[in-house]
Amino acid sequence: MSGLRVLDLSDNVSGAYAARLLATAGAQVTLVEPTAGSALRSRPPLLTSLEPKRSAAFEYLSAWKRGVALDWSTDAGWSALERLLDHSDVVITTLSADQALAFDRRARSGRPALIHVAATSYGLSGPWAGWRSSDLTDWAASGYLYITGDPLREPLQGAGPWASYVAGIASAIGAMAALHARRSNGRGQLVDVGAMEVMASAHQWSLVMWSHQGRIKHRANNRHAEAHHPVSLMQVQDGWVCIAAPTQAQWVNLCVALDLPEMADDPRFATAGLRFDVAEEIDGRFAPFLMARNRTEVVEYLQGFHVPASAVLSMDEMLKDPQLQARAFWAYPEPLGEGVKMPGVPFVLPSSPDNFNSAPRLGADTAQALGEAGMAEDEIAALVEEAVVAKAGGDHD
Amino acid sequence: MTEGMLSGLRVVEFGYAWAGPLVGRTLGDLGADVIKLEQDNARGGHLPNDPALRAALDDWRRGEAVEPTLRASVYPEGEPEPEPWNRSGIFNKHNRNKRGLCADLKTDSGKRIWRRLVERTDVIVDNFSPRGSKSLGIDYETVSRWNPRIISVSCTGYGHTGPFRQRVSYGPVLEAHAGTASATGYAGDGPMKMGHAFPDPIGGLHGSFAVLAALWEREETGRGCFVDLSQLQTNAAIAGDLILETSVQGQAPRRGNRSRSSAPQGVYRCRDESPDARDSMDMWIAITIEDDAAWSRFRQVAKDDRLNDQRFQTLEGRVESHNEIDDLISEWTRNQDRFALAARLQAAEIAALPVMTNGDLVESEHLRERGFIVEWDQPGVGVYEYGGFPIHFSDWGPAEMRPAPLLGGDNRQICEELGFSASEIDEFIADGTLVDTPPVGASR
Repeated sequence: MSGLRVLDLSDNVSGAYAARLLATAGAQVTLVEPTAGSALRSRPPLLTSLEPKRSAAFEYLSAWKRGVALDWSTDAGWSALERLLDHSDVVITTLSADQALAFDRRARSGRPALIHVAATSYGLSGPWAGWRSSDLTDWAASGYLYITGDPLREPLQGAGPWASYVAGIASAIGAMAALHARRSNGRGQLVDVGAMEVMASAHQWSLVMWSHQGRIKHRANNRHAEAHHPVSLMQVQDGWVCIAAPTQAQWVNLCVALDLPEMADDPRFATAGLRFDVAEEIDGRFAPFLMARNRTEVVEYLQGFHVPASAVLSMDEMLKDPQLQARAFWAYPEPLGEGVKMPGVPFVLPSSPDNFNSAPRLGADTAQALGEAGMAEDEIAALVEEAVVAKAGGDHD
Repeated sequence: MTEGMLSGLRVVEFGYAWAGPLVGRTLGDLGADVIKLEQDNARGGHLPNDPALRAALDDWRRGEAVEPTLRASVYPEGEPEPEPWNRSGIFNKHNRNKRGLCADLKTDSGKRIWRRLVERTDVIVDNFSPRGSKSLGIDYETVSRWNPRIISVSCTGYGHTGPFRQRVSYGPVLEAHAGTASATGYAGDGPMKMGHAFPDPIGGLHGSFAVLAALWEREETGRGCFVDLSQLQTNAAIAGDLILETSVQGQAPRRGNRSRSSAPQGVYRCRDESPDARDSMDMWIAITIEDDAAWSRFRQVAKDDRLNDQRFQTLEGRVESHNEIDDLISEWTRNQDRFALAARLQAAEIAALPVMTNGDLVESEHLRERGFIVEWDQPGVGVYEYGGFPIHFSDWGPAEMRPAPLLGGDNRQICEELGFSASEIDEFIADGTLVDTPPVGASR
């Protein structure tokens, strides 16, 4: 993958995560942002305890990327961007549908091998293509919002912009598939990824529940509707655990483990579906055992019976998790402070980078990237003079 | 038949549930030849001969409350018979664009089939525990001896190393462990799991990317590899921003549907509907007001003088008075149609969207125009609609949709391709290695 060159023009999570994934697989990724800085640099969550404050989203999503500051809306800026495009295999954008199509015509004209991945909320066509979106409306479009939360309250979003992340994974898949196709025919293409569709394809049974049975999927709080119990968050002495015993063998093991063997033989509890309809009763009978023990005791005990279970960990606890530590999952972005951690490479490929690289400072690699694209030093200096590009201070960048 | 993006690529997917099968499905949608390898009890079996269940099934056919055992597998029209293992809507949706091989790998014949399969395959995808894959002989050490170019992607919950490598899990268990369930929830309330096992598609999509990246590298180096994909890690990867924030300054409190950068934002009740004619249902719209200008446009649409309150005209003021504003917006949205209202707000360039139900997604004019809603004729089931392939390529597509395999439905064809003679194949069937029906009484 080290020979692959990716230009990341995104200012939203979807494209930025696609480019990060490609970087963790060994591609050389160059982030191009405006001279005023990418919108991602002010995206929440903001690290307000740092001076100057920074965006956790930007710092996480931009790791391993080189940084170029370039205003490509001007003619001079576009010419400079064209030099970078000439030296790229893949360009990733998160423009609106109209802008993405216009960009595509310009960028791929005369560059038949270039692959353009356009990540959006609704895709580049269809009646909603021009509609506005936010993290929350992405959740609404995805179908996940309606089915998450308390049935007696309003539907609930997930805590992060995960529809965008999922669109990002699909964008990275699209980029790789297009690269494989290019290997056989030499042609690049436009890859159109909308978060709504990717999320709709990431439902377990919602869509077939409608098309096969005409039924609406409802919210079920911390249980797993419509017919699986227990696959639930349950309270124990010091917090919550997730216990999942949908199969017959797991159910029997769970009843035996909780010293309630009579429940394993009770025909009213014979299937995961029957159990869902009497979940209150089942949970009530489990409660004395669970409320007398803490999360660690419950989870280690149940795992000993091959019952899937985990503590509901806070993010602080998860940062100290021995499994993730043992697998060297963490990256340490030193500019953010000593001991600060974030997820590193999600899974290791032979081509994954050996060392961690923090997110670039604004314009950190402008001169180098434009130089590699064949631009002479005086040309770059002229662009800096016209404020079309920006370089970070310090020659060591 | 259109030439696929990945034509010529041969994949064996030995996966259960969702994450592993999603890797196989993605590669199959892209045109790879995917063989789904299964054990005979993988899909469950005959329904128990239980009079109560039969009576409940009759109730379902009369339109009464659906029996939950039948609900679980999403049988078409709630009808599991005659072959429930070939009729599950969930299974068929997860496993389109694959061929089916059902073989017992532990017999001598099964070991012969497995070895030949490995020798002619580019990619193996599984989601077995380290112990399970060793005992089945599908571990990388074994398969790479027979085929050094093979790429083996194992999508487990926790990974093949580390103190929890033998733990068993499902998606919701990993959501709990990764901290994402603790981050999600109503303000001031407890943790909340997602409505589906969200870590599964997260793991399966990352796994699909892993396969394509490993294949690219193999083209460069000629060598295959083992990818030890932990779904705990892929789930944490989509929360990298929240995790980094926690590491620097502690975990942010649960905030329900609110935004951290703009206000108001919320999910507001609209006019109820009865989409499936069974019960009246709550319907909602999601609205985000991105900035002061959007707020001004919103006030012009909503036409409620109370929204013109001076206190509401700055972001700080709207954050301060969020509850009060939510009440006013809810009052306005309560009796409106959510689709019409979203269209009106979008016309004023406001981020607003109906909170889509599963039925809305399938019926969505937008998704249909995009070609996302597809149908195929599933043997023994008939023509039904499904969600399609979400990635659009200007130079290829739309992805062809071939039905999910019947259990063991391609046993003979696949064994012929592996070079076994007709009499050898008859022997595999006779000795119980190749099967196409589950054992009597098999339950999942």
